[in-house]
Amino acid sequence: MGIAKAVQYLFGYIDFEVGGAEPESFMSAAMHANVDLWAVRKLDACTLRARSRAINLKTIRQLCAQTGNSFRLIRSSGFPVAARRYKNRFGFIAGIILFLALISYLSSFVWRIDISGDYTAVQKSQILAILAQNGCSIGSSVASQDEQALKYAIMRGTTVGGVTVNFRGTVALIDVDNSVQKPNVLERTYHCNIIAKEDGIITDIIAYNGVAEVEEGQSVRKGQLLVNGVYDSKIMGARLVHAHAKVEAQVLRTLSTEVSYKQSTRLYTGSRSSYSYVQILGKKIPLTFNTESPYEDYITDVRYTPLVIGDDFELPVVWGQYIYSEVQSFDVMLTYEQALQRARAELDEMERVQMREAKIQDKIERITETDAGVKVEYIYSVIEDIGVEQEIYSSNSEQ
Amino acid sequence: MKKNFLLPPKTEPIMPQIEISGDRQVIVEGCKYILEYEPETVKLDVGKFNLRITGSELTLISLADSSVMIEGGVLGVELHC
Repeated sequence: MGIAKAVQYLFGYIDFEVGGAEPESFMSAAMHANVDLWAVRKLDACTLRARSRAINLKTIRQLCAQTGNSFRLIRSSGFPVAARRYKNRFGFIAGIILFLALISYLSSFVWRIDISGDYTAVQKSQILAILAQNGCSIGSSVASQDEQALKYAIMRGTTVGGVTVNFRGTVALIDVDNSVQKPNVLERTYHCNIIAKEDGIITDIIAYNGVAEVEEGQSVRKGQLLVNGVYDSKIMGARLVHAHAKVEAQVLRTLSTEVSYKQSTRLYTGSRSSYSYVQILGKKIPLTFNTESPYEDYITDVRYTPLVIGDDFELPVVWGQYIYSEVQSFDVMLTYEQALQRARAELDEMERVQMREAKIQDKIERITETDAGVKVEYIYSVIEDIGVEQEIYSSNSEQ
Repeated sequence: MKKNFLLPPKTEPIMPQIEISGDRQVIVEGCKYILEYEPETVKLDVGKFNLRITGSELTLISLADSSVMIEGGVLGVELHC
């Protein structure tokens, strides 16, 4: 019923009265002339009221005249009638056209990227970076986005188990699912051996495909054959396979840093300079002519405030400010203990990042004092997979 | 001929179609003229015969292309040859 009313309004309609000795004759004539009538009510013996499309007004008048009835227009309604009222108001019409054009133009850009599901902060930043690399960022064109390509790019470039990419209007919806394990797709179209990528002592070896050439407890050198891709079966004879194995070995890892006694530190002088900008759909528009820092040595601080409607609807319009703070460099001499403490703090941070997934068996610290400063090394004994594929080129394979 | 093709009577174009929904609505297809329209009586010429619908507060909801939809308290539908 709502749709019918909407269509009536869109095309316009008229309410009218037909009076005469036989208003039924008008109805029959209207039916034969393919004039649709609705809501026909008899007001009295000689009068009926009905509704029809506005476009039929002229025909209805003619039919009334032909059938000897009088016609009285009660009212005209709908969009064409409303539009006719504004036909001489060019500014208003131009405004509406401009508004529709603006809406249409702005709808062609990505306004927001919503990432939902269970994801880590690292995964979120990875996803945003991959989307940007593939041309999907705030301000990019919606029409140029390929959802499947973005999905595969995210799956390849991150550790997420599953992801869906959809565009709803101007919003990119990224749904991350880490409840499933990332499918391990192996390219097994070529033949290969597995060799050691570095020196170590084998702690565990499981050959899923191919023949193991080393055993647990054995020392191996970098480049040594671990799993042979030439499989010699008694029934089929020798054949080449794609060797696939888990080869864990105890290897050494070293993290080192050197902190000199003479350190340069930068202190704020208190002088500041700034300029503001507006960023619309990813495009930055400075609000001043001079955007350079007036200082030689300075630290840049960027602050921005996105325009938000309601609680969480973020528009792609950002007001921001670049703040240049002048700094001056000073030399500071550290004591041995201070240098050692700083080196250890640096190494602890490196260990937290670089050795996060390593299976550490043992760790020793080596400190070397030089004239310039202190060198500290963390030497780890870790268990890791040292197998790496090495393709076997046969006479049949492409070179 | 019609028997040979086993055409159902519904497909004959000259026969009017009358659809009655309970006692509230009557839809007539193939109406040629509206002979009488009163809140208590609607009389239609449907070709071979006339159709008389009686009831209370009968309203012509729509007239379009020989179709007539009548709503109200329908008490009777009579055919007059």
